[in-house]
Amino acid sequence: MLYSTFYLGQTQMAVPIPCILEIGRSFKFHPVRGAPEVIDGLINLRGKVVTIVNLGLAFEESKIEPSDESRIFIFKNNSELKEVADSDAVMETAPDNIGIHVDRISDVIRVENEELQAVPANMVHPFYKHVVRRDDSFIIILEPSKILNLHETPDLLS
Amino acid sequence: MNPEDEVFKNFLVEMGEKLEELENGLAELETGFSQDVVNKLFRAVHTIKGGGGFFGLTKVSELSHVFEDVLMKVREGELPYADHMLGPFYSACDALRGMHESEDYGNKSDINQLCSDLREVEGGKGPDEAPSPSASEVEPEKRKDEEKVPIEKGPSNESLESSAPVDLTPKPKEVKAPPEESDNPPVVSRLEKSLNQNETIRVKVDLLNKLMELTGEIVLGRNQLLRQFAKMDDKSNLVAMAHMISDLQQLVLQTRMQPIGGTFTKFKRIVRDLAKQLDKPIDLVIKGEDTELDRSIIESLSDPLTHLIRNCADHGLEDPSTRIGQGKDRVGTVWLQARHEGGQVVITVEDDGKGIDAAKVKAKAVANNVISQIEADAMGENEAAKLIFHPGLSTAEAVTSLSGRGVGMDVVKSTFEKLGGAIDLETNLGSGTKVIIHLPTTLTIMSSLIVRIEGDRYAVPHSELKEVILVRPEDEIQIEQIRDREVYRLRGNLIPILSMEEITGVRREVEKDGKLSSKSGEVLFLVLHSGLNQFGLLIDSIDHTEEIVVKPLAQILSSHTFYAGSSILGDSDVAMVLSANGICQSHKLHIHDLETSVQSTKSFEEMQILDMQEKQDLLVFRYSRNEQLAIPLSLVFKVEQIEVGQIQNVADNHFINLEGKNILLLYLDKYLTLEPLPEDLETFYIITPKIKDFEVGIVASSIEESVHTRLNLDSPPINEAAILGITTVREKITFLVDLFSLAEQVSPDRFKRTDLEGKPEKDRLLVVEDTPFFRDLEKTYFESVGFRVTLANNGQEAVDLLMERPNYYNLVVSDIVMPVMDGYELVKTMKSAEKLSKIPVIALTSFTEEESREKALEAGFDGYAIKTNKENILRAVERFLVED
Repeated sequence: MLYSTFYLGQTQMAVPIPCILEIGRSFKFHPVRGAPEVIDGLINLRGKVVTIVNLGLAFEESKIEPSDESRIFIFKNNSELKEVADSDAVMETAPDNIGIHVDRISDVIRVENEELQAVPANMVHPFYKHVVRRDDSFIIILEPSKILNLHETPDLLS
Repeated sequence: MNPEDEVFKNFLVEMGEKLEELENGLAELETGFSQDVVNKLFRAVHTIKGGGGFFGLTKVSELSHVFEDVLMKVREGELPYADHMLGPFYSACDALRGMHESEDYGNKSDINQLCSDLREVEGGKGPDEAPSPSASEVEPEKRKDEEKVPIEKGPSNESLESSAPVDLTPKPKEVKAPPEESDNPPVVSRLEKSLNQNETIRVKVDLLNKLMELTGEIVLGRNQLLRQFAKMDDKSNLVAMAHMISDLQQLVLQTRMQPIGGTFTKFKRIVRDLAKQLDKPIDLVIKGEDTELDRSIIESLSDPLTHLIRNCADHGLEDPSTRIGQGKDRVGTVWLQARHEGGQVVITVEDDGKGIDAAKVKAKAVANNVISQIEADAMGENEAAKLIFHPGLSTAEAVTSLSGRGVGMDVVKSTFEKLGGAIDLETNLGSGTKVIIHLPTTLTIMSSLIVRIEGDRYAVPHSELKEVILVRPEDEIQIEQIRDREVYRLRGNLIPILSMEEITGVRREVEKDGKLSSKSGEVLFLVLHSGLNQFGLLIDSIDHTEEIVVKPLAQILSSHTFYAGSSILGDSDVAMVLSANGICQSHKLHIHDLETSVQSTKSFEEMQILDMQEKQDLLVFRYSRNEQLAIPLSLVFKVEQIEVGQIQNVADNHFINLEGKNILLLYLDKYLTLEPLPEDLETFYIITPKIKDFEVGIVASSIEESVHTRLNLDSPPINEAAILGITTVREKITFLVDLFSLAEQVSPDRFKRTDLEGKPEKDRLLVVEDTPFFRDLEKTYFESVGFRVTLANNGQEAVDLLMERPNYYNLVVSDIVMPVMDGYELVKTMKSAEKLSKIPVIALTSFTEEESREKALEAGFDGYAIKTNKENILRAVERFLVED
C-alpha cells in the first residue's frame, strides 16, 4: 500500500494514502473557543467544515505553528472511506472530516504488508500502528482512527 | 429486487396508512356514530383484506374479512351501531397492527377468538357467514373476484355496480374515494376527487434529505456570491436569482413539513386504553393539529409525548372518587396542544390532576444526593418540580406498569434537547401540571444573528434570540453584581449575564480592559432563551443577519454543548453557532420565574431579590471604644477632626466653632444607652448631619470607614427610639442611628411632630419600597403622624393589594427602582386602571437629579420627594392629603 510520510520534529511518520482526502497548506484556522488546545480550529474546505488537530500537541510535544512547510492532512470520513474501500485493508478514520497539522511533508512510500513490523515494546503509543524500515531509519505508521478520535482517549486531551 | 417485492413493500406502507385511518376512525366513532366514519372504516378494512389476500397473508385477510363483514352490516344499516362494538373493533385493529409489524405477518397467530368476538357483535349471525378458518379462500363468488384483484384495484368494490370505471383507476390512493351509499353517485365529483388525490406522490425521504442538503449549500453559495459582488453596479440578475433561491429554499423546507396531527391523533387511542386500564375516565382535548413541523422532528416526538401523556394519566390525574371529593369534575382532562410561537413550535401537555408535590420531589432528590439540603431549601416550587427531569427521580412511589420505572423524564428531556428544543414545567399542587415543550420548526437552515465577541464571530439562531439590549452608563438599570455573578433586571425579571469567558472557561486578553468597561462605558448583550429560561450574553458588536446552514460539530468536539455546531458564513469564514440550550445546561442556570418571585415565602428567588436590593452607603464610627455605630452616608453633611482644646463650654452645653458657625456638640450617651466617651481622647471627630434646622455635631471617638453594603436590618434588642436597628458591618454588631428621632429628642420644640398629627387618621397609605431599611423608616414616619400604613415590597405586590381593595387606599408612596415591577411601571399600571387612576402616587426616591423628577412626573407620579429628609417626605404627602 502507498503511504504518505511527514515529519513531526525529527520523527518520520506515515499514514495510508487511501484514507487521505487531500493535503493542503495555509488554511485559515477559525478557533473554537473553549475547545482543548490540541484543536487548532476549524477550516472551510470548499464548503465543508473540517476540524484540525495539532499533531504536535496530540503527541504532547511542542505545538506545530503554521509555517511555509507545515501541512494539513485532511482525512476522509468513514462514509467517504467506504466508497473507495480497498479490499486488502479494513480502515477506519472518524465519522467526521478531521485534519492533522504536521511539521512538513515528505515522500510517498510503498510498503508491502510483509515489511510492517510491530511497534517495539519500549515505544508503544496508542497512535502507533506499525514501524517500517527504510534505508537507515524507521518510519512510524500511524493509526489514523486513534488520532482522529482523540476524545475517546480523554487522558490525551488534557 | 424483483418487481413483486416492490409492490409488496408498497402494500405494507399502504396497510400502515390504512391501519392509522382505522384507528383514527375508531376514535371518531367513539365520540359519536356517523355514516361517514363507518364508510371510512369499511374502506380501510377492505383494502387491507384485499391486499392481504393477494399477497397470501392469510390471517390478515381472514381477520379483516370478518371485520369487514361486521362493518358492512353496520354500514348497510342491517346492524345498528352500538358502543359495545368498539371493544372488539379495537382489538381487531390492534391484532392487524401486530400482524403488520410481525415478521411473518401474523400467519401463525391465533385469531379465532378475535373472529368470534367480532361475529358475536353481529349477534350470532355467524355460522352461515364465514365460519371457515381461511375465509378468503372459500368465500362466495363475489368475494373471490376481489381477492384476485391486485391491491391497486382495492377501492369500494362493494359498490361496483354504481360506478365501475372510476373504481378501477389503478392507484392505491383511490381507496380514499368518497363513500357511496346511493344508487346514483355523482360521478363527476368523484372524478374530481380522484384527480386531486393523484396530485400527491410518494417520494423517498432520502431523496428529500439530499435535496434539502443541496439547497442548503446553494443558499450558502448565494450568500457568498452576494458578498463577492456586493460592489458591482448592476447585479440585477444576481439579485433575481438570489430571490428565486430563497423561494426554492422555502419550498424545499415545506416539502419536509408535516402537520403534527398524525402524531396527535394516536394519543386518542392511547388515552382511551389508559382510561380503561387505570379505571379513570379521561378526556383528551387536542388542539393545533395543523401545526407543521419538520418531519424528522415529528418522527421523534411520538415516544416522549407518549411518556408525558401516560404520566398525566397515571400520576397526574386522581381517581374519580378523589376528584369528586376535591370538587373537581369526575372526568380528568388532558390537554395536548401545539402552536407556532416566534418561529418555534410550542407543544403543551397539561392535566388538571393533583400536580407535583415539590416537597416530595425535594426529599427524594436530597435522599438520592441529587441536590443538597441547602439547595433544596432555597428552591422554589416550580424549580423543585423540575427536578423530575433528573435521571433516577420519579415521584411515583409505587411502580406501575405504565410509568414510573425510573427511566423517563430525563430521557424525555434529552430527546427534546437533541431536537434542539427545550422542556419546561409548571405545576400547581392540587390543580394540575403543565409541560411546555419548545421546538424548532426545522433543523437545517436557520436565520441567525452574527455577532462579534472578543475577536471571534458567532452565529445566534433567531429562534433562541429574544432581544438585544444596550446599557449606557446613564441608564437607571445597570448590570449588577451578586456574589461575583452579573445579573440584569429586565422588566422585573432577574436574568444572569454571561460572558464568553464564563461559558467557555477561556480567558481572552483583549485591548479593552475588562468586559464591562468598553471605552464608552456601554454594555451590549443579547437576551437568549431556552424554554422559559433566559439569560444575557455579553457581546461586542452585531455584524449582520444571515441564513445559515448549521453543520454539526465533529465528535471530537461534541462535548462542547454550548455550541450547536458551526457554519460557513457568506464571506467563507467559519463561525461557531451558539446554543442557548447548551449554555443553560452547561451552566445549570437556575433562572427563576416570575410567579415564584412574587410569592412571599423566603424562596430562592426571593433571596435573590433581597440580594438585589439597593445597597446603602453607611458611615461607620465609634462613640465609646467598643460600640460600633453607623448612619446613612446620605445624611452626613461633613466629618471633621477636632482637638479637645477647641471645645467651648456655654452653660452645660459644649460648642465648637466651625467656619464661623457655633455648633452644638451632641454626646450620644445622653440619648442612647452607650458607654461614655473615653476620657483620654485628645482628638475626636464630629459628624454634621444633613438635616435641616439640626445643626449639631455628633461626637465620635473614631471614624471606622464608610461601607457600601446591603442592609439587613434587625430590630433593636432594646426599645430605643433613636436606634433604627442593628446590622453587621465587618462582622461587628453595629447600631444604626436614627438621626430624625435623635433630632426630635434633642430639640423637641423644633422637631415636634408635624401638624398633620392626629388629623388624617382616616388616611390609609400604601408604602411601596423594596429596601427594608427605608420601608421601616417610612412606616415609622408616616405612622408617627397618624397614617395607617400598609407595606408592599415591589410594584407587583402593590398592584395586587390595590386591586384587592381599590377603594381602601387614599395615597400611594412608591420607590422607583424595585425588582419585579418598578415604580414607573406601577404608576403606569395604576393610571391605566380605571379603579386606581384617582389614587395619587408619590415617588419617593434617592435620585436627586432634576431629570429624575421630570421623568417621574412624566410617568404619571403626582408628586416627587427625595428620601433623605423626613420633612420632605411628610410634606409631599401632606400636600395631597389637604387636596383630598
